[in-house]
Amino acid sequence: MGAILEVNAIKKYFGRICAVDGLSFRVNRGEVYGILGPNGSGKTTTLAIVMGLINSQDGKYSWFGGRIPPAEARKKKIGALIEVPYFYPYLNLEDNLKIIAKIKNILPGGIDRVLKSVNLHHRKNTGFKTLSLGMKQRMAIASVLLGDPEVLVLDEPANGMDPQGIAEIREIIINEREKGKTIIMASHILAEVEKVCTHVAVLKDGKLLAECPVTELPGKETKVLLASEDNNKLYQVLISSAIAKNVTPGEEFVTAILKEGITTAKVNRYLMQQGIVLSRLEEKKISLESHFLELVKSPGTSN
Amino acid sequence: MRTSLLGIELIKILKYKSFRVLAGLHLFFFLAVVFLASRINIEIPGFNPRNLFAFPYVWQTVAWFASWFNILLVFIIIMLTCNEFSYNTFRQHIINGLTRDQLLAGKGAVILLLGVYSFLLVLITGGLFGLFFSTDMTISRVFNDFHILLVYFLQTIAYMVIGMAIAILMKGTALSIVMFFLLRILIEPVLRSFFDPVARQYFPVRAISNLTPVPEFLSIASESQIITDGNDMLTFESMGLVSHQLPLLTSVLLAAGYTLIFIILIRNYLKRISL
Repeated sequence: MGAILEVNAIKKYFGRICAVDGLSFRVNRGEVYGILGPNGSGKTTTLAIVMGLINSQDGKYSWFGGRIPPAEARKKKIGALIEVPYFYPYLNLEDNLKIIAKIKNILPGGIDRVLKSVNLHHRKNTGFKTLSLGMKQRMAIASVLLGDPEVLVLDEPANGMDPQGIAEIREIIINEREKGKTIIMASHILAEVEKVCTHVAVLKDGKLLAECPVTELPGKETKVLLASEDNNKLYQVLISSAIAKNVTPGEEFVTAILKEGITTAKVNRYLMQQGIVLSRLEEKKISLESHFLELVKSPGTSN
Repeated sequence: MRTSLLGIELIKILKYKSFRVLAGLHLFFFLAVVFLASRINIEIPGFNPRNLFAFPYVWQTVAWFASWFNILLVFIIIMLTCNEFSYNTFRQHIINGLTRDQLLAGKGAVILLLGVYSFLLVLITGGLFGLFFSTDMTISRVFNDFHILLVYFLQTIAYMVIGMAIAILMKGTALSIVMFFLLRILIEPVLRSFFDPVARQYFPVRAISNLTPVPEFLSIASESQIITDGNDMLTFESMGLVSHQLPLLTSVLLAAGYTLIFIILIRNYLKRISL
């Protein structure tokens, strides 16, 4: 597995505010790495550092295992959108993209392709300043796709878009993921990250709170509350069974996290076979959101 | 295939209205002033203003007039540089893979382009006026003061580099232009006033402006032999109209040195800042 991006203990202060506090992570080839965090958690600063916009005060980062110098990697391998899109307002879309094509040393033939992919081809000859906010964001996505880079770095890619636009951007990202591209994406919208990412990192106050593959997110598991006449027996049966993991005993009810592929109906049938009649069987979805909020609210990490 | 920094800059500036307007004003005012000046006809015996436009004096005259409008070239550079900050396009260029040195080199390419343009403008205008006003067209006479054009070229480059450096420091167009004026008419003059007249000539803005000294109107127009007979020269300096001046070569070296220093300083600054 090749490392695309390695970040090692980077630190950045803005005055006395610590925006990024000793952050380390690694993104491997083919991953869709979501950086999740509330506003001001250091997502954009982190991406700005690895894109060469801000010098970090401590720590280092490297692209492609350090085999390619950062500027060269940005030019030849990476397409990035950091914060809002930046273009020359008085130039039309084609000229704006021509500048990028010239910087990246690619033929301007790709301009039509990328404008079509974000539904802006009909506006090719209009000035950038005449675009709506959502269209500007699409234009930014078009510029990211120019040259078909193997790594995409996206900071809030669906910023300012209508629901249809958000869906289209998601489709574009999933499409790129299917092509085997590596995508690093920052967002404060959990649903977005959950839908497109393979890995997720949660950031708060410039620190990494958690990092895991999306499949291991708690939101993907089913938690059930069970009760019967004899909760003790119920607990014993459940921990020796193959259907549940993480069983917690309790006075009123027993809590269990179900193993993958196990439904509440299966639980009920299994317990009946074991001679236990349930008086209560309640499914509790642990939403990613509540888990996320719990993480970022937890004391000790806040100021 | 190398990234063509000049090509990128050309896409940015050719369709930019403010650039076209300022470049047009520069061309128009320069030609208008040279043309009007050439029409001045003072009827004093032994005094012929037409000489100012004859070879070899025409180079000095036209270069001096052109130096009046250097400020417009500086405005163009300040405006183009500050735009990169206000549109955040320097930032975008970094994201797209340019290095910070290449950001600077791109603006350097525009400075050279404008420098070459104004050099050619002075060359062609001076050449045409010289042909029209000269009676003696020997090669040695035509090219006698030709080096003044190269000195003028250095002056435009030096001013534009100062403009670019101020623009990168200030980032806003209005503020940068104000700072450029303050540096020229207030900050440096006040600093200079603490020094003796000779030391004053070594300050950057003074050294650069010394590159195109006021043509010696009186001696040229009265055809006193300034080339052969230096002692009888009716120079402004000998009349006390301008202060002590350094030899041209010294001013050239000073201006080139200062330009280099500004480039090095602003390069270091640009490497350190967040974009």
